Amino acid sequence: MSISILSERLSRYNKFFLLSPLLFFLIFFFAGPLLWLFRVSLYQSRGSSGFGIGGADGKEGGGFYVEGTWTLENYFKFFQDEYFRDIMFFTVELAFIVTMVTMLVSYPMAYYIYKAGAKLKTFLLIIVILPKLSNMLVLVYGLQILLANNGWINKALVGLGIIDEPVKLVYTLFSVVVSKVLLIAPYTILVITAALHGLDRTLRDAAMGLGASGTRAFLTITFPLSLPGSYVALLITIVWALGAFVSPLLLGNPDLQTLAVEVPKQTFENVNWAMGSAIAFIILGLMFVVVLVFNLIIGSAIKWRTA
Amino acid sequence: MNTEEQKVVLEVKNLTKEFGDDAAVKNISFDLYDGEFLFVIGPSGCGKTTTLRMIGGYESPSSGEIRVRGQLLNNVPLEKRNIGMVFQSYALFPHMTVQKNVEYGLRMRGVSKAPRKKKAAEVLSLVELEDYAERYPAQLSGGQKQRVALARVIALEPDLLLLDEPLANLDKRLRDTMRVELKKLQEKVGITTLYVTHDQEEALTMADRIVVMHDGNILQVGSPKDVYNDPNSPFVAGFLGETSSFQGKARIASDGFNEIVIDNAMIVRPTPTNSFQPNNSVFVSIRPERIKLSKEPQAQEVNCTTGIIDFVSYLGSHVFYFISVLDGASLLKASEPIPHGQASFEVGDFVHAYWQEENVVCINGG
Amino acid sequence: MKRSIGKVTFHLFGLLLVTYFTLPMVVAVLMSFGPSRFLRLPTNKWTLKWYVEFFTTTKWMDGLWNSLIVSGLTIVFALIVGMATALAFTKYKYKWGAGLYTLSLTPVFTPAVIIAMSLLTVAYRTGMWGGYTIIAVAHSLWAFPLVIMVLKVSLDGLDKSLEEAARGMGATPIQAFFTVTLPLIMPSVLVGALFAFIISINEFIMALFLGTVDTETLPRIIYPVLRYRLTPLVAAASGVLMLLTVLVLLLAARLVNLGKLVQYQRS
Repeated sequence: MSISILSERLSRYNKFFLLSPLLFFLIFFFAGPLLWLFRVSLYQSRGSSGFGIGGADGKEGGGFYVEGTWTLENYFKFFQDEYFRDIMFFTVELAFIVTMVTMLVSYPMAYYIYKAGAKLKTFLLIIVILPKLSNMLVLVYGLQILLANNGWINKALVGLGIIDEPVKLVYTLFSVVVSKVLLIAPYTILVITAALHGLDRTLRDAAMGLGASGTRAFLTITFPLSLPGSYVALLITIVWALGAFVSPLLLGNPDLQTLAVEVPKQTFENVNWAMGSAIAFIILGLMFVVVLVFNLIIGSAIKWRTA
Repeated sequence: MNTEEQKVVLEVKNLTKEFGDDAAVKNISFDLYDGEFLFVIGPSGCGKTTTLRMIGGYESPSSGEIRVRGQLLNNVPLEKRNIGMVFQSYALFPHMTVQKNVEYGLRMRGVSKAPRKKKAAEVLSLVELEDYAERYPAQLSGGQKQRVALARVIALEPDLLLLDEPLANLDKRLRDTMRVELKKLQEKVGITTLYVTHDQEEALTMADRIVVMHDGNILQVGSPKDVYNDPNSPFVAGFLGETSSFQGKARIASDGFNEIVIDNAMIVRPTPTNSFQPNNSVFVSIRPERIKLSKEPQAQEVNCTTGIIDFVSYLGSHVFYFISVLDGASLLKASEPIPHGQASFEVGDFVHAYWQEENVVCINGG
Repeated sequence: MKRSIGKVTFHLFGLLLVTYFTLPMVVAVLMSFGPSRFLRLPTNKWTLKWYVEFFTTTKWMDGLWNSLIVSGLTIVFALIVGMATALAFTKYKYKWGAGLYTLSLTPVFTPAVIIAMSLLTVAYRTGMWGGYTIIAVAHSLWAFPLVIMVLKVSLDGLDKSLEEAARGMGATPIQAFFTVTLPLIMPSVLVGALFAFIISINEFIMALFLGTVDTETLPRIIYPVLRYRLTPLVAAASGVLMLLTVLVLLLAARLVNLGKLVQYQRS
């Protein structure tokens, strides 16, 4: 009388069998590599002695790092060298600027979409998604042309008499920010739009019925209630902004390099995989720290409010 | 019903289903005979659907046995059991025509195209939906969907048919019609059927036998007549049909048989019995249709009471009186058929209510 | 008065943002049709010469071909992982279910550089570097969470009794999946596949790290040209990528509408 112990076992088997592709990918292609990345950052680096594929046994002229070594020298080098420290500070600085601009752009846009009628809403949502569906190189190319000295923007500014001479817009901090925001904003706009749509519309009506003006109702009711969703958008933005690569690389200048740009530089140009990995891991570390700090701030803010 | 001569199709023995600390089904046992139309009824959460699903193979029991035609089913996977189930939502495949829906089971069995088509046509004409073969489920009405759901399982000639509240999603009128149709169909095909519902009216009208469940336990098994007239517990008495229920104390009357005193005012006397211990608590139930009302006092001294009509419910073919008795402490429900459309009494009337001893149900405890 | 100024500003802002989002692409596409080699926008002379050059140059065509192969593989990986996972979460309850579900979505939030670098070190070690697979794997990390989300929504909308009914009539779990479940979620499967395709065909950073000379995808070929020798050929290449994306999107829209249409017909 083994009450379907067999079929219970089989269904349990099924249960985990279905999950195996996901687990396989997460372990072997995501978490595992991240751990391995950390390990690689602890290798002693070779000098940039040629590009040797194969020979991963530390033979002369082959391999990208010295096998079997364990050292923190890459991290030391990173934090001791002013060059790297500057890049790190700039990365964080850029991340904050990009985040601020993105939120400033995204929230009003999300609200605009929220208030829009059905047809306009669909149109706007498609527009918002567009940058994400196109190649980021296409966007960069378009921006390079738009922001050039003889590009449309400058031509318009001169034509409208706002300035006398074309101003340098491309290969500046401005172009880097403009580009990165364009790459991130679609997500944040969508997240905040979703958050706004999840709100109870009648709450605003109730507030206005009680005498609040449209603006006050928004400030006291709608906005605060949309904060949780907006907070998620904020975190996503910071994490991605810290990983800024294409924008500084193609629309910046040598003074505006970020950590992410430094990674392939170390890895491929200097053939210093250990260093490249270390920097990549430092980016990861920065993301954790920033998210942690924000969670603590917001967390304590909430506690303070509900105390 | 001569159970010795009838073959047992389904045997459920000590069936239990536990979810963590709770048990949805607690050690129940019952049998189902060939060709029988058995109803399992009870309020929501009583475990009837869980029981059904265990028999069908959609859930596995925590302990107990399920046998169909003598074969132990516990370790037999769902798709190998020859049991047909009609779901409450009908679960018709929306992307297949009615024809394809009906042929599905045969297709899974490897039956080839021609015999499949033939069988499907047979079954469809049985449920009178031959002309709908090429329609899609979304184009069917509720009643039609239900017939297709039946057809496609009947096509497989299962040992047992399981119905999970099949009429729950239909409106009242359709439900009444479908009740008759279902019963006729079941008799025609002769298929052994287990029907689960919370609607006791359905059970009373359609069942050969009824199993009453409450809180995971079986309270009573019997024919509709038996369960209605001789409930073995206050719950069963209250669940089936309408009733007036009272709590009283037993005592021995002058002629040596039991009497039940309610509120020191009303005396109820069942058919002569000695089974109640004096001073024990006894539950009393009287069906509304068995109570007679009159403006004149009656000759009997027991099995009667007086009261004022509190509320009159007009139900077309009969009226329902709610009578305040025992100085307003209790409510007596009486019904009166009104073939000529005129109720005999109205709100506020003072009436004498009386009934015969064979119409009283007394249960120990309660 | 105050109200309408506010309203006008609001709409102006909306317009500004729409321009911000569309202008770079529009400019890039326009450039691909202009004759000028320089960063000057075409005025009256439209030409397809850059497209011709694109389709006749081996290097670019190889790049396109490589991109298509990698995208194809990405679709396969993303669908396998996505479908299995979505099914698992719909059918069963897991002990750490909610956490695991969130975890399955995290790769999509990880910046490309991190994924690229970590997979590079592993690829090197395991000899996978230099093949199409590792690039597709990297792309799938961004694609499968989307597939999971799309499929889960679709699966949640299905009547649970459908699969049970199929099983009850003799179908094994696999038969039930292929004859009942899959046909009913097909539109979402296709949408997921198409999203995976779009993500992969446009992805640049991971392809840069993980590709080699033999497996250069189109974005990777565009990049150095973009960095050093800006020509409208880049625009043409970008144009081809955009065209592919648009076609694929239209296909997705058509399929979803078709799915809804079929359901309408049946009701």
